[in-house]
Amino acid sequence: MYAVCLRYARTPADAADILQEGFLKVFSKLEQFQFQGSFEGWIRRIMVNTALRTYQKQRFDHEYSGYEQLPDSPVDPDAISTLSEAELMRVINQLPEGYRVVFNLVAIEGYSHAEVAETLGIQESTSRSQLTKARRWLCEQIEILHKINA
Amino acid sequence: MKQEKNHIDEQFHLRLYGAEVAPPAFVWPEIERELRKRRRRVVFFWLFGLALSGAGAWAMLAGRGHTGQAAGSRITNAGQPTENTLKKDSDEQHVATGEETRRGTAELPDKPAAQTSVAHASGYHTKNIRRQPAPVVQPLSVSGHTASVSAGQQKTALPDGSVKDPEQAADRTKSAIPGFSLLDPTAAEPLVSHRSPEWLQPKRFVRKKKDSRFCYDFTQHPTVWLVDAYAGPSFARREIESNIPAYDAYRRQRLDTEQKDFAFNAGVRGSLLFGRHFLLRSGLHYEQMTEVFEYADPNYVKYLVEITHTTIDGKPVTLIDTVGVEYGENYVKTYNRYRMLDIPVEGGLELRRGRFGLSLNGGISLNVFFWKRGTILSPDGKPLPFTPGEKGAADVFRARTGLSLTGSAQVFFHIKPRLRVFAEPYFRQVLKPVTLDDQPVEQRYRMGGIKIGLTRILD
Repeated sequence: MYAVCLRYARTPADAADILQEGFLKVFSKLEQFQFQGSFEGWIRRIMVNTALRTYQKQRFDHEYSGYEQLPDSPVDPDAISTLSEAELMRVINQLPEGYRVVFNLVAIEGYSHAEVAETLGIQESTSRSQLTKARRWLCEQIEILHKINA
Repeated sequence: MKQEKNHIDEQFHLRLYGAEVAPPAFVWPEIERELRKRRRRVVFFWLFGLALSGAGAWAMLAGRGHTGQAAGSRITNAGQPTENTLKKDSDEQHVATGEETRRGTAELPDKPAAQTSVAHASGYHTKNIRRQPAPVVQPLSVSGHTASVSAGQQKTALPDGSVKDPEQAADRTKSAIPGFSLLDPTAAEPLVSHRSPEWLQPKRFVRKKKDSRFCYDFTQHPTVWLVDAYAGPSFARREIESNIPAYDAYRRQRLDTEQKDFAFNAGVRGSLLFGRHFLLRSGLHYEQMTEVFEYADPNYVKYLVEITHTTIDGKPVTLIDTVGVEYGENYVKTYNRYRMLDIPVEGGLELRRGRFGLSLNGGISLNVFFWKRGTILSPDGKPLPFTPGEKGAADVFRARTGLSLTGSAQVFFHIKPRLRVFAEPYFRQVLKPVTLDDQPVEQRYRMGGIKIGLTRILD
């Protein structure tokens, strides 16, 4: 579960906070678990929702000004297999915030764009474009890492 | 993954979905500590709720005891009736018996009229009469022009030891119930009603007495000090105006890029109540408004420039080389905050009734501090920070906003003689624009909201 939190949080400290908050929710809402689906999946969902809420809260609290680069470079997808899990996590954490959340939800957790749109309060088209941009960004980063490792 | 799953997504999913990382060791004790704290909080809330319920029940019982005592004092008075009380009691008896006649059941008023009226006044009229050992009486028949007593005609022993004769009781009924004689065929007078029905009679206005347990006695202390502390939500209406037509497009852009968000107010206030009803108020009033500035430039171009300092032929040379151009989107979102601290000076009129009251206030408010922080759109269409002291910030707003006109209506309720809770909708108009004179557009504010707080009466 800590790995789930790490993928959504900006820093390991934030991830620890999310994990703590998530487990408190799990313990306090334990009676609400309906025994439909896996218990692990239920906890994972709580962790993801907690992380998203933290993300939205922080987005409200912080002012930010961002420059979002859109690289358009060819990528070798097989380069991913040469990287360790820690490196992959690091690459995901380097994604701009919006991309990271959408990529985590769609690519790793398996949410549909409709679910992402509903959860984050954005348009489905925005979710799709964020995912595309996230993929491009990741490909470029992975290629750089692949070259360095080679 | 349900849609457009590609190789990268699959790879990441396979490698990271089940990946586990051990959390830092401090997390588990923290969770345990927090859980324990929450459990304590739940216990505390239960205890607090129980205490509140107990206090409420006690207050209710105390209230009932108070009413009972009031009724008791009426009984004592009824034993020595004055002319007025006799008349009143008689009226109340008429009302009670008239109602019974309408229902078609006349019960014998075998107690003195004064006591019957007391029972009625204390709210136990029906209950008390039902408990009386009065004999069963047949309904009065209006159509048959007869008023007969029960066929049994048995004599009934009364609790005081006397024996009640139904015939005598019926006679007393005739004399006690007004209009009964009208139903008697032997009566000399025609069947004309001498009084209007009870439900058509105007109800007497009874002024609600002040409850000394909750209401402050302003007749004893016509001049007192009041201290208020309050907070509440606000609504700020912003107006951006331009007298120069050339800046009209800019004005619209400003309106498009800035959206209002949360606003609130808080403050402390001292009031002098004099002449029992007049108020002079002053204090410190804080108001904060938040607006969201959102700007996106989808055609943002970033040039990557490499600057190299070198020496050529012994002379220092700086080489500037553009190494790349990136195309992207520049997105800026800031929460613009405007905070005002004011000293209001207001006059008011206070009206009270029972534990409730209303005060109407009006006056002026002088701005002492005006803090501002954030970004707006500049006339050339770029984000322009205006936070004082920030690098590249522009002077857009005044140091102080000056005078405002204020008005409010406060509704209050006495919890204790010296403590009130109140809700006060208010309105405020800042007279001058908050922007500097040299700005292309003027920004003005009008605020409304509600102050919710407590008042302490000091004497």
